[in-house]
Amino acid sequence: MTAAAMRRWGWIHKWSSLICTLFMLLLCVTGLPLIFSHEIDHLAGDGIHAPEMPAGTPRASLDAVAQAAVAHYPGLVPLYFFAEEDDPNQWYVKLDTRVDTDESASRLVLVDARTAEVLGEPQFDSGFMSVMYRLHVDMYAGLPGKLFLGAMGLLLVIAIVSGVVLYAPFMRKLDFGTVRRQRATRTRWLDLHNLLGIVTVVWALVVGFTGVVNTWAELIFKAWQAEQVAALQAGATHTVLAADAAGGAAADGSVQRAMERALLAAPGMKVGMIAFPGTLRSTPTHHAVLLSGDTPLTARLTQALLVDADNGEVLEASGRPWYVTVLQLSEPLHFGDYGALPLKVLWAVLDLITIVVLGSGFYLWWRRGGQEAKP
Amino acid sequence: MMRIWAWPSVLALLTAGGLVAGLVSDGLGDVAAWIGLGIPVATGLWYSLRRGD
Repeated sequence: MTAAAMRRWGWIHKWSSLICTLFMLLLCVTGLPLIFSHEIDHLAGDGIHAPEMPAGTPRASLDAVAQAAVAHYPGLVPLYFFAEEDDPNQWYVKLDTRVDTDESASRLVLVDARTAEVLGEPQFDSGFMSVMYRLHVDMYAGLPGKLFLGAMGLLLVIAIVSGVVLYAPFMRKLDFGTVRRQRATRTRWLDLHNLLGIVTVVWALVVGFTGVVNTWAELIFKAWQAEQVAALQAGATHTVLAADAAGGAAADGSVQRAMERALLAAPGMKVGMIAFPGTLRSTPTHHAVLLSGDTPLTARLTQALLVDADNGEVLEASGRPWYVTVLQLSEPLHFGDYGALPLKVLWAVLDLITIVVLGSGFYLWWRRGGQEAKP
Repeated sequence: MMRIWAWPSVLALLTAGGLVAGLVSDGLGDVAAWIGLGIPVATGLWYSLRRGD
């Protein structure tokens, strides 16, 4: 590498890292407990539990579940049902003043799927973990905060790429893994920075970039909704279950029937979410039912079916565009929650190593100057 | 060139393979993910913490 090229890459590496380092440290520190949020919630025991009932206890209709939620928060309207991951007998119901708000003041209620009784209000918005979550996701600044952190994440990606380019000239005379312990402190930290940076580079790139994609989630869902509505208007849809298909009960405007018809159209799938018409995740005239399969990949890559609220026709309109696929793959790859506890522990160790890389990088800049260990 | 990039490339491929394996398969895939991510982590810690040089 010529001296001029090296100066250029060095400039890119220095400024992209310096600008994002403070925020990346914040993300690493707050992200550490978030890796284990599932375990921490369980340990803390502040989860809400549904009472034991014999297996096969029939389930209440979704409409009764929605009614119970509305009775709990009079004046609000239901937006979504979310299946509780660990307990199929519970529904989260999200409510807000209108179906088309930005959901910043929305409410969640947990309802027993069998008795349609309200079990409680999950406290996702208070306590230590919620502070960690908000600092990590948007620094309490909503969408602008998310997009800002996303921009910092892009700078991190640039810092990592330029760091990889600089790795070669710095390692020209050194064997892999060399840490010159007898030399000046700065030299030792330079070697550690290069070593730890290069062994974690793929993980850091993946977690960094998928984090950026996650900051775009709202924009991605808006774009998807627009695409679905456009497909509907253009008639570019694919009917999965005709309105008058034999075998299914006819539509009656209820959300329960909408779900039944979606499941009839996609046998063997599991309901992950149901959106009422008019919300961000549906269209003005359809219920949306998000279904997932039972393989690790299809559990992440959901299928979105639209159920006509009037005639019950089940259709797919722009089922899952590529950018939604990217988003849905970005979630597990960022959270590290797809390989049981050992993967989470590795995620945590990699997170701690990243803190060392960030800290040593800052130190190397701080103690810059004409010392030794120039390549 | 070879000398500089040999080990980093191996570790990068292990990491990438581990990240994908865990995503496409449960059970064996998870084990592959632990190994694929575990080896780079162990390598980094080994060289950072060992005495001597």
